[in-house]
Amino acid sequence: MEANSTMSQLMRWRLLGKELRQLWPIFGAMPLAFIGFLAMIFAMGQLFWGIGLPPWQLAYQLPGVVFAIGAASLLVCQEKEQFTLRWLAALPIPAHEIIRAKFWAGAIGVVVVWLGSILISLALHTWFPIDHSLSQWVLCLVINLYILLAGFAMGWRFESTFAALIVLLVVAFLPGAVTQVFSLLWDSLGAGTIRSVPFDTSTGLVLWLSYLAFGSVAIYLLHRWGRQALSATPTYASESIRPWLPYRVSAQVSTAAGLMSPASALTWQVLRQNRWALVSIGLLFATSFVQFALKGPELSVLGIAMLAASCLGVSTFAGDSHRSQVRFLADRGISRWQVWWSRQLVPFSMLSLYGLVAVVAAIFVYGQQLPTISMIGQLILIGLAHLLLVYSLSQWLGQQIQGPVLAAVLVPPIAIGAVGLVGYFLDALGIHPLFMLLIAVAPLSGTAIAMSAWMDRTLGFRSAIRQLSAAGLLLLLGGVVVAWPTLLPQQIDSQIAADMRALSVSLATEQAPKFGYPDDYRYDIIDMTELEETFNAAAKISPLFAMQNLRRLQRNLAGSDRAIKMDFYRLDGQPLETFAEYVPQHEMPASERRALFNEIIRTYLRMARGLRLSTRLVEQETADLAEIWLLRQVMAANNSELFEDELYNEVVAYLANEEARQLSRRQALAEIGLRLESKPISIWDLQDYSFEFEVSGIYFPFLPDWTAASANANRKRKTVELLEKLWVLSELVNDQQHAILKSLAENQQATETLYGIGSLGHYFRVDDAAEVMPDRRVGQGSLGLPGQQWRAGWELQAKQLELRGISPSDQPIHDSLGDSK
Amino acid sequence: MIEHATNLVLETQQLGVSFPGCQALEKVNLQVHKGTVFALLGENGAGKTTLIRILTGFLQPTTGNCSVLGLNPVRDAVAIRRRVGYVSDAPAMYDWMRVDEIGWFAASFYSDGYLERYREMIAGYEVPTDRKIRHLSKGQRAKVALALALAHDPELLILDEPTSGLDPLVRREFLESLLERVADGRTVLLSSHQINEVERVADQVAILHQGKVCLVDSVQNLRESFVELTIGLADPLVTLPEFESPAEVFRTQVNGRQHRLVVRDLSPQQLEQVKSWQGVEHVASHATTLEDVFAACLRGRPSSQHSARS
Repeated sequence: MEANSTMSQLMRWRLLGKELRQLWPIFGAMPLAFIGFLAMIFAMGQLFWGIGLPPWQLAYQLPGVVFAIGAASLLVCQEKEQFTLRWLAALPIPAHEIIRAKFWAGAIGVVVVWLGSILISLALHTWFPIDHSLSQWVLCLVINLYILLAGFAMGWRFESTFAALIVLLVVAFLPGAVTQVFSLLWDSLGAGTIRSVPFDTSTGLVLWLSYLAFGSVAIYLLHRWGRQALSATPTYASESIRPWLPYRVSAQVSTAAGLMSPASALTWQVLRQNRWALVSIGLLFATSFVQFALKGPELSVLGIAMLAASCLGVSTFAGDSHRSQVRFLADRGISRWQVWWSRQLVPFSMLSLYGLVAVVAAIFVYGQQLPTISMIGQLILIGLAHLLLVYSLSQWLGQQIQGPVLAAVLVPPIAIGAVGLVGYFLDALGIHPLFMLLIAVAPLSGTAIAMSAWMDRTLGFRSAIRQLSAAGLLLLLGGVVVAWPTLLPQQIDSQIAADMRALSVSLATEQAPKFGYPDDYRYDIIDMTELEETFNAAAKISPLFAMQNLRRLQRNLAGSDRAIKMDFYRLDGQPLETFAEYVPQHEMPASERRALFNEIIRTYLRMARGLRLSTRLVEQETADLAEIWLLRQVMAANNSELFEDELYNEVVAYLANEEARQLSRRQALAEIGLRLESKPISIWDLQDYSFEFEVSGIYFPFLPDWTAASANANRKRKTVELLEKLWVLSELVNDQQHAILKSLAENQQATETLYGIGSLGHYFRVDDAAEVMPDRRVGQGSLGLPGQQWRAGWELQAKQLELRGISPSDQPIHDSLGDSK
Repeated sequence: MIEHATNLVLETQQLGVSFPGCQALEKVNLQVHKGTVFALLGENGAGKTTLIRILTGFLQPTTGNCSVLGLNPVRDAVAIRRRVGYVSDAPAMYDWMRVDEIGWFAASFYSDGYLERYREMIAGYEVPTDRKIRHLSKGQRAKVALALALAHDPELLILDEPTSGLDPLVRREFLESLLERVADGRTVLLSSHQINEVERVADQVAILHQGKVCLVDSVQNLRESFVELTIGLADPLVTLPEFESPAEVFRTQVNGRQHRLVVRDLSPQQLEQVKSWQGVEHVASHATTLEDVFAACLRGRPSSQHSARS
């Protein structure tokens, strides 16, 4: 009796030990899974910026879920498929002992991983902090144990791992779904607002009870189905009980049909065999549909798309790896390339189709919001690049991990996390995300190179070296050809740079008024906006008040070292010059009104002249608007009586001098070019990226979601591109400029150029000064583009003006208020 | 005498494979001529399957070289596998396919006539065509694997334990079919434990022991050159002298005053000489079977020598 008891104890411990030993691969893979989740959250965390911390707790808690699923798969499903369960059942071990040993091994593993997660979360709290809540962690343990129980139950019930995992995916969410339904009902009954679980007592209680209830059911089913599985060999008849499967293998192929080509045969074989792939493809398209229905990107849906792409990748070689079935093809000398292509054909086709569907969906949903189709296309391509990399990396990992069950559980977090990290590093280095398409080729080439060894089931160190070498070479070549140029500091086109150097700027620099850096230009705008908005009212209330404001303006111009950014157009689009209409004759004597008008004209003329002497491009642009405004005053019929003849002719002569104006603009551009050449902008210079980046008034604002290196590199690149376009623009005549201006307008959102000349809309060109109306797009908040007014129609109009009776003289500007520079 | 074709279908020279802690094959020299049945015999772990895996390109040799149908298995593994019919010791098949489906699928990779020949063989083996591979018995799976390998009528058949799991009737039919193929100029290399079957069909035999070739010779020569001697001694302490060349003792069993020896190339003169040895009371000689030779090679000698006799 005692001996029997000792034997029983020994048997239990050895059985438990054997089950735990079987879990070594997944224990060993847990660090990789954790790193994968961490990388995934880290990369996705950029998307959470500004609304709180990234959900690091997922990185700590999800490995436990992966372990639970993996443990159930390895201990039951894999044993079934390898027929070791039959051997175990043939031993003189009671069925319940086997079931219990597996359960306890899985449970111990879950607890160990859970404890490990807690310890790691504490150790890494400084870098990846979470709210350590006992109830959260206990709930996490409960969920993992529930998934383990459900996984065991499904594993005992179903013949194939595929069926078990599919059903498990549904069953795992049942308690949460029940809780959610309860929560919705609770709210619909008006019992309260939607509350988050588990902190709320009612829904939290329901959640706990759900897990308890479903867990109890799972325990019962686990024992029942386990005994059934261990007591009888599954028969052929059990195969027919599958009406509830989401996918059924298609009807038997008639082999009376003609023979297929080798490629067709291999494709047929893949389609018949790879049910995981078909489910993954279905899931992928379902996410597209959901995105379309939601009319906006949803992180969880994008995550599911990534998961589907990963499963698609893992399943590429999984079916053939199962029991080394691919040896059938290897034994017959089937071409490796044919086998490889047949495995890629369906997933690639589906991914391409998915891309097409995504484009169509995006156009329908976002077409009105995004400015251009090319932008939509670029976004879609970037998304597809991510999916393709997830797919190819998962495929490579799935090929290397020759156990399909282990691969299915471990590869998705590792692959998705790795892709997230790749995206982050590309961003950090300022490399365009489309480079991911090239990176995706590397794992694919690895799988192709490994085909011989994989088919012969001789994957090993040598094969790994060959793959890594090929992938490394590919990435190196791709990096040199594609990515390296983006890392190099971009220089101005050599011809343009030479032209700029030839154009001397020293004279202009000496004579330019000292307008300082417009760091507080917004204050000036606010002042001027106040002036603008209140001027009309002030003029109505008191011409003296209007005069005082004008004096303030002149003082600012005379004595301040700040550049003035003036809104020449009010926010409602009406030009400022209607002030003349707002100073009605009955409120001011005619002579005073005339004097006021001419003072303002002189002020603007002086301002325009001064701005033309500056080599800052923003001041050249301001001068354009000042001159357009002056032109409007000259052209306005109701101003003709207000104008002094001498002043009129002075203004007309000034406005007609197109050559001087053009020279000033090009001098300013040359100045920018020289400063860019001399400004050391390094992608490794991390100090400047958080501040606005300014070159001659062209501002590239703070980009919070960009890393330092990429921000600096991109800003330099964009400035050079802008400068080169402006240089070319300045050489063209009016009719030839539209293409470049349109290109500048389309790129403005992408380049995020901030150009401080007022809220004029991003493509606004004055071809007729008499009919100026800014092209304002509501809500865009974009500021003026450079070069919009260069050699436009208004300059031609200015040249066609006629002087009045007396000849104009180039007299010094008179300032009636006595202020002078 | 067996007539052999002059063409070599398969040849190995000083072929060796070593794994960490194990020399799986060592200095294997073999020649297989066209139109013959060449059998590999050896105990479990002798290296038969390893040799076959090298010949089919699944394993690279550590030393030496080999050629199959004039091709190098290391470089031209795929080409070799296309031209040979290979049935491994554990043939891999797609379990989810039906018997007719797998033949139909495999037929896509071969020339015309494959499917018809496959169906003919399956019908002959009486395997249900609408059943999935995973639901077949071990023997039925073996039949399907054989049919798949033979259906494209390859010029070289490489069979690793081909009749394992087959019932006696099917074994007999299979072996007869092998002979028919050989008569048509095909070549067969088979590895087997079924010595009586090998004896029936093989032209040449190589016996492997611990990775080395003990013996390579035709079955006919082996039968003719080996003899079992039973020597009765007057005194159990009597030591028998060594046999002089060319006689070779492969195995010696001592049971009291009786010595049983398996000797090769014992001439009649040497036999008479044995009878005249001091202490020898009686000497009896018997013909040996291949099984006796096999047992003698594996158990009787600590080191191996081989002779190639045609």
